[in-house]
Amino acid sequence: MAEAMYAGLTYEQVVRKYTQTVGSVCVVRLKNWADAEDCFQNVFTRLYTKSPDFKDEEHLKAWLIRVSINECNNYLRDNKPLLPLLDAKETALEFPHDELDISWALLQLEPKYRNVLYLYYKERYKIDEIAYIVDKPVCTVKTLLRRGKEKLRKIYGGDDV
Amino acid sequence: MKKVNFNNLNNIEIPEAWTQKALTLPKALDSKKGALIFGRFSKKLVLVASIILVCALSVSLFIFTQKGDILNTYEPSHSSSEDVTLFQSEPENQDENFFAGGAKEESQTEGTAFDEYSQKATEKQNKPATPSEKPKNPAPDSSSTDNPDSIVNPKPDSTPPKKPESSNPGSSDSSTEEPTPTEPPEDYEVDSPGDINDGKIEVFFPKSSLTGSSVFCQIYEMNGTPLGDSDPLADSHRAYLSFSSTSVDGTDSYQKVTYYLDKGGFSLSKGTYRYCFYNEDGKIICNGIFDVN
Repeated sequence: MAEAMYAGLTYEQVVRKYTQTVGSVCVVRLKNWADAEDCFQNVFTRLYTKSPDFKDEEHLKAWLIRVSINECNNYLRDNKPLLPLLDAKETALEFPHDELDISWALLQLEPKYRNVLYLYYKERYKIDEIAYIVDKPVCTVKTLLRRGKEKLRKIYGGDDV
Repeated sequence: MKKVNFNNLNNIEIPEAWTQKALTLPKALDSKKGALIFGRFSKKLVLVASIILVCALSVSLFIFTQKGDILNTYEPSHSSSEDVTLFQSEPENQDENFFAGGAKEESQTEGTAFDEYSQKATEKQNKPATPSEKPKNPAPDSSSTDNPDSIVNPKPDSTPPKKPESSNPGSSDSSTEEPTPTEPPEDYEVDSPGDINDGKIEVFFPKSSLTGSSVFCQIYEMNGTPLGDSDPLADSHRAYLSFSSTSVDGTDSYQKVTYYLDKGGFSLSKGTYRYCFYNEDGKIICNGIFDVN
């Protein structure tokens, strides 16, 4: 049987090329390695079983990020605790506190800001592309970006550059 | 104050194990798909096996339930032209005709023998019947074709009697109480079916009226004393159902029921007796009298 191709890439090539992107989105969203790994595997399971027809690699990458965010949202919805525990910390993620790296500060933000900021500053997506990926209006994405930057600045304790 | 560089967002190191696990996903999914196909196949196998098992159990149950009937339908090979043979119509009215006395035969409207017999029965019904009144015995030559007994004791070469239709509604008396199985029949007039010498009574019932699988026959003296076991539903009173269609009307719409008198453990001296057939619920489905010479 012929091997399935995804925008000209084999399944293995897709996994190796987009592990960092998909994994980061899951970790940033869930802040938990174990949960993030579950969603990570689910994303590639869906890719293999659905085998969507991608126009190009950009389309493939956008699809992977969108599916990753949806998987994380589904996971949070399905595993919502019935009674919120005060001492149950959301983050089990050990992150090096680097003065130059703002990743640790990013993870302190509310979930709705984290993915938007990550996609904007790390994946270098434009606002309209982020709006498509997270399935929100452009204005909403702009607002999330602006407020997220303000919150991040407060957490980090510095000025904007 | 520190400067915040939003572009200084380092990569989150994703463990290599995640990648390796993701690379093995296709194999795992393919094997799972194969297992699913096999699972569906095995489900079909289980379904077919279940159906076969249920069918086998049903057949076994059917055979098991029919076993008792097969035993009941055993019929000794001896037969005689002197056998008392009756054709019965609707059993619902039989227990009422038990008291009405010949009203059943009144409903049989056509046919030479039936007409004559009906007339006679009607005349008798119009007479005031008293409990003390003795049933009228027919002439000794009861095998004559002119005799009404030819209805209840047809000859093999005689004209087959018509299939009895529904009983005359007028003969049904809803106010009449059904006697308990232990009570002897009272106050009836039914022509004697004839002499009985070889000790068996044969009655033809419409198959549609025999809903149960067992029929019992109790013999009474004319004063109402039951002979043999006083319980009409005792095993000694069990009559035999015949599978073979021996109905003289040429159809298989009748079921022959035979009761052997010696089965009851009593002997009949010369005289007149009453017989009464019950279904397995103790309901009277047929009655009459016969002579022993």
